[in-house]
Amino acid sequence: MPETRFTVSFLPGHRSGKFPSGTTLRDAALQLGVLIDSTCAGMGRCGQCRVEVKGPASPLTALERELLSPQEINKGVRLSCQAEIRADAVCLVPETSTTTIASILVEGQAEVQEFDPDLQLVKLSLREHRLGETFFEMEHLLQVMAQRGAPVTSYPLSVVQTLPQVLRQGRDVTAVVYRDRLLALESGREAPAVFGVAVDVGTTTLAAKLVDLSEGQVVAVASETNPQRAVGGDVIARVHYLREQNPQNGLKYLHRLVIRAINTLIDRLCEDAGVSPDRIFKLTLVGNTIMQHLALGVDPSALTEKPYTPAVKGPLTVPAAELKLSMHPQGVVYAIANLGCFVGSDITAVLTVLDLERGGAPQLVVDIGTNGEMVLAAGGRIICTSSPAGPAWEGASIEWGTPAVAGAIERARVVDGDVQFTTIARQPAIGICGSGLVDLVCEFRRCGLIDASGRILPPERAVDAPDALRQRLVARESGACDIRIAPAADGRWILLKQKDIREVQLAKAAIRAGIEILLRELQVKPVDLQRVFVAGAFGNHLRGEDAVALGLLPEIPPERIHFIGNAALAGAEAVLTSKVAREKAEHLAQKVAFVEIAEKPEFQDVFVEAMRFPEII
Amino acid sequence: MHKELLQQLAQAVIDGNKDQAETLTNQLLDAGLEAKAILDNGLMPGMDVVGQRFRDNLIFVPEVLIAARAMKASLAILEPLLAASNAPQVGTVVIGTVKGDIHDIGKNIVIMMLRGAGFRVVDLGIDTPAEKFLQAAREENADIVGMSALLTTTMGYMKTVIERLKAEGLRVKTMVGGAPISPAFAEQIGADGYAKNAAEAVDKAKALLGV
Repeated sequence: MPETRFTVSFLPGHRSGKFPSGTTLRDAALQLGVLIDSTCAGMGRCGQCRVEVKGPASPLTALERELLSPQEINKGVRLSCQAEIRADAVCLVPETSTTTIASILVEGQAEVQEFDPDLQLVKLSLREHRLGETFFEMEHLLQVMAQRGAPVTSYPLSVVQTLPQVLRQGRDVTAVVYRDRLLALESGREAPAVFGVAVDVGTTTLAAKLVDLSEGQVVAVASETNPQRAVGGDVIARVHYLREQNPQNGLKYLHRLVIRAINTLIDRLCEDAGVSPDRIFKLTLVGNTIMQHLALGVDPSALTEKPYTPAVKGPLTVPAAELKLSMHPQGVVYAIANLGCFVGSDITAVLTVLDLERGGAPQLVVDIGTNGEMVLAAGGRIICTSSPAGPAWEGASIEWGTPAVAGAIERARVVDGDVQFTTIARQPAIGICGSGLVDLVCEFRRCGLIDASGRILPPERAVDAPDALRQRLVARESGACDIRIAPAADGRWILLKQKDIREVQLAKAAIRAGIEILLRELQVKPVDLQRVFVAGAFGNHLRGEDAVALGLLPEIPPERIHFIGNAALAGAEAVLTSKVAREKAEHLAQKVAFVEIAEKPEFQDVFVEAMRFPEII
Repeated sequence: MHKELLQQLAQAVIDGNKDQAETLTNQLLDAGLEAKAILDNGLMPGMDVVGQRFRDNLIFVPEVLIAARAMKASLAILEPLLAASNAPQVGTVVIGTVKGDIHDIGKNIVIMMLRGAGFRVVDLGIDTPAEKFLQAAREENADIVGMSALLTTTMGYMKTVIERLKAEGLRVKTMVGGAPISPAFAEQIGADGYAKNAAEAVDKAKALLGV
């Protein structure tokens, strides 16, 4: 009997296809390229992949009954990873399930590097062949270039193929040279400008800059949500997908998603700047280790299991055509080297724009994200490590958590004894994003609503807290308390729950434990840290005193803490435009030593100790 | 008199007061109480409260571990006596973090809770291959094999262990837990039990053994 197939379409966007009965809506969406958020990789835990289904589907699962409200169930809302196709159906994908990040950071502060790109335009005048001599155009060209101080050791066939046509238009030519490789030959001495692109492939977000490599100016900046979010929120979930859920084509699929996203970015950059993509000859690529592997189409699976083996450190120089990138076919992609198994080229790039080797005073670099990375420089040594902080900073494991989208509570302060907050785009509150979460926890801790162990105190014990705040406490039968923050559109309260505080404690302890282990390794006392750099988009929403109050950073004077934003992209840009920066990145990749913290016998004690909040001074 | 001291011992565990727990344990023994009675009526009620508070999020990992430290100090005194007296145990659990995974904080809390509930627990540590689970289950005459994993990429190994246990014909119950594990996954790989947290793990282990 032939398999019954049903038509399923997804709105908005009207993508549809026929699928066998029993296919989950998530699988159907993935096959159609409909990108629905799925932080937990389809395990039925995160509840982010809600869709409204018109038409019959498989019965509700226990997980759905747990995660969906009765109102949602009445409306036909399902989790797309749970609901299976039983008949023709139309699925409405709500905006909340397809995240576009509102406040994405693309500017990073960086030390200015001298403009001296590896990519050069060499203008040449070639002489004519004199009858009777032995003369070949290509060899003559190479000879002239060597005489001009631009020796070439390799070139693609396409250069030879275009040579006769170029020379028919005249003997003045411009050679596009990357280090000692001749990439292209163009007629005339006034060839149009050449461009480069710096790309940071983040787990959540991709960011890119288009730079005029003739002048050294940034001409356009763009960012884009990482479409792989549809497969899983974090890198581990994505590896799980390619290993377990789609072993046949998962790698290819994830690779294509990144390449497509980079190409979308390039197209947008080019459109903004009025530049043709085939004028782009160089692209520098950075990302965490797993993202970089996926962007290069290399299987990162071995990275997620002991002994955590990356396939490649790099740097890699790859022809653009091999990656099907939307740039000049002979352009080059330079993937910056990784530092260690979970400390990727994005961190190498960050270090490239800092000056950690100067003076020898202890300096710390922390990149706060789903995965935290830490680098410590002291006494001529530089060591690094990483620590999985989990998705709390992105609001994923938080009851009323939300990514940084319109309506997310992003800032909160206690003013005149009560909490005041602002939401992104000044929209009615829908939930709490990472920066709002940090603000709330810090403020409630300062006001005595939360104690050092992380417990939300019951009203009778929160004697130091202002009355208005105490009235926000909701006591549960178990004795645990939650805190009412704001009314949601459906009349329920947006709560900061006791459980959420625990998630914050876990996330910050992971980062802090990484820092502590590095400090012990080089025998540096926190007070000796001269400069602390906090990188990453999330870090930019932090305040120094909050980072210390939370215990995320050790106790250091706030003025020594510097927030450097998306320094990874700034580093990728530096390597794009400066030979010195590229060499520095290559030097750092050799110099920085990786420390595996989880292997340290003291790790567990340090981690547990870091879960508590510091005492309030 | 005993009753009061036992209550104080329970409170010492709840408060994580290690010295107090040791002193009280010795006092109770000096007063002629049996080790089993001290375990059942002092330590276990204390750990029960700790487990319940942890489940309700009233206390967190550091407080549980501090309580566990106090319990461990008392148990260290009681264990030789328990072994000598041949007092019946609730059951024996061999437990480990599965191969490829080195995360063990959660597993260690489960171990504490199980010990606090009177189980004999053999800790196989981290990165445990199937052979080690098998060998320990046999040698320790285990009632339950417990497996923990923190990564979605390593949880699949639980299935390997369960299949090996079945293939070797070992009559032992299996329990799984860890951040990425769901009840559906546990069922799918043929585990006998799943627990969301350490306190639930104790209830589940008891239920599996019918105690």
